[in-house]
Amino acid sequence: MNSFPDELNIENEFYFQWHITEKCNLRCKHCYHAAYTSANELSLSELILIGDKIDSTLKKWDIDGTLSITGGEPFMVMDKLFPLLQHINSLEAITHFDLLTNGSLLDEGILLDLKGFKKLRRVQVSLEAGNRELNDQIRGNGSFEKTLSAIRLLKKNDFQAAVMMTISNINKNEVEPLVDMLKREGVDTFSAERFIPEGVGSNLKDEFLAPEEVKNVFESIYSLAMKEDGIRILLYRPLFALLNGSDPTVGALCSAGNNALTIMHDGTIYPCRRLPIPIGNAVTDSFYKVWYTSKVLWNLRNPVNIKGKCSGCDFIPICRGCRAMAYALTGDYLAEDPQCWR
Amino acid sequence: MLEIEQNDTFVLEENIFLQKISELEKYWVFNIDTGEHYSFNETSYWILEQIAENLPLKNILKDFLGNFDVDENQAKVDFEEIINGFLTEGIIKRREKDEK
Repeated sequence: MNSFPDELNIENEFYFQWHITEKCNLRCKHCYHAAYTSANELSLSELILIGDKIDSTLKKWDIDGTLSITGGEPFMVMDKLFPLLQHINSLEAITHFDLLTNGSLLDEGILLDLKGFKKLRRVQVSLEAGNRELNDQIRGNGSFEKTLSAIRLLKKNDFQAAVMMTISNINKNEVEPLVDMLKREGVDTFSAERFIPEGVGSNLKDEFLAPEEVKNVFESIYSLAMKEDGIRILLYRPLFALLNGSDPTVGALCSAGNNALTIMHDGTIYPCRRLPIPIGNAVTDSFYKVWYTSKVLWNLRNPVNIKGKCSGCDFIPICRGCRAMAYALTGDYLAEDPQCWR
Repeated sequence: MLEIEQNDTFVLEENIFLQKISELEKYWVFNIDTGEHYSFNETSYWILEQIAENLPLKNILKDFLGNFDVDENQAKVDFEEIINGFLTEGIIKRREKDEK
């Protein structure tokens, strides 16, 4: 009775996205954070406690765990980051972790320290375009060059480098140029997320893509991925399944309520970073309590609850759209995905 | 097997949480302290729901016989076995006489 209930269709891996700070040295226009003050940021001892809770929970469920440590900019709180990574590296249930950073604070010394963490799989940075002007329009002046330098530094030091792009109307035509550039730079993986107008990004509501535009961008990403040409393009996001439902590597169920949780800088737990509905606190609550009793999570788990055109869709077993997108656009996390083109 | 009287009343142990998705015919019991979790069939889950309502065992058994098409003698045996299983797993406990 100790392993995770198979009936929930949980994969054999559980994922935590962990924002250890809200502080950031960039002010990207599409950012999902609403503030950068990092009020009530947790202490190192509280972070360690959460790490231990994650480990014991995963062991109880007899399931492997992966983490993404991020912020804000995680290297803004290096005094906490490195001891925490040291601790995470020692946790038995964690198979690997990734660092999500803007890359601007990385240097040779930091990478040398990171080398010691055997469970560090990838360092992910973000770029929004294959050209400086467009990228910097979104992420701020100088960010393109800094990110490119970070990628080169990572590759020079034999790290796996990942790049993420957030797709909006501003950069919808930039997928191919960016992927071409990343191949030349030796980047290992590329992934794309749809822009969700929330937090600071609410100001870019007009840059939200129409369903047909999303379809065009997704087809372009899918086509690049199928080339398998020097860079791994990750397709496990909602709606990709619509392009090829028979391939399990294409598309994925929204992880909210299924196999992931997000922990914020103050310990607040969300179903997903992009679905900012508080469902508990990682310091004061057990993950068991949150995972087993959250009404939001149970609503998400039952496909019968999903409304609109999602409800009668053939793809419901493998795609329920992005619940965060539904929430941001309609206020109802169970509404149909407003960007679905079906 | 623990001795179970028809006049006994049981309650859920603290930190036990019941959850079902009827449409999927899925029924779970969770211990939010220890992380233990159990999947049950509809009948066992129904009994737990009645226990959660603080109903005496004899009332639950009576409703059980009314709701499910089962042989009474066999039902009593099965019922007792299920209750014992819940007790053994620490899902329920006997309500003391002076407990409200």
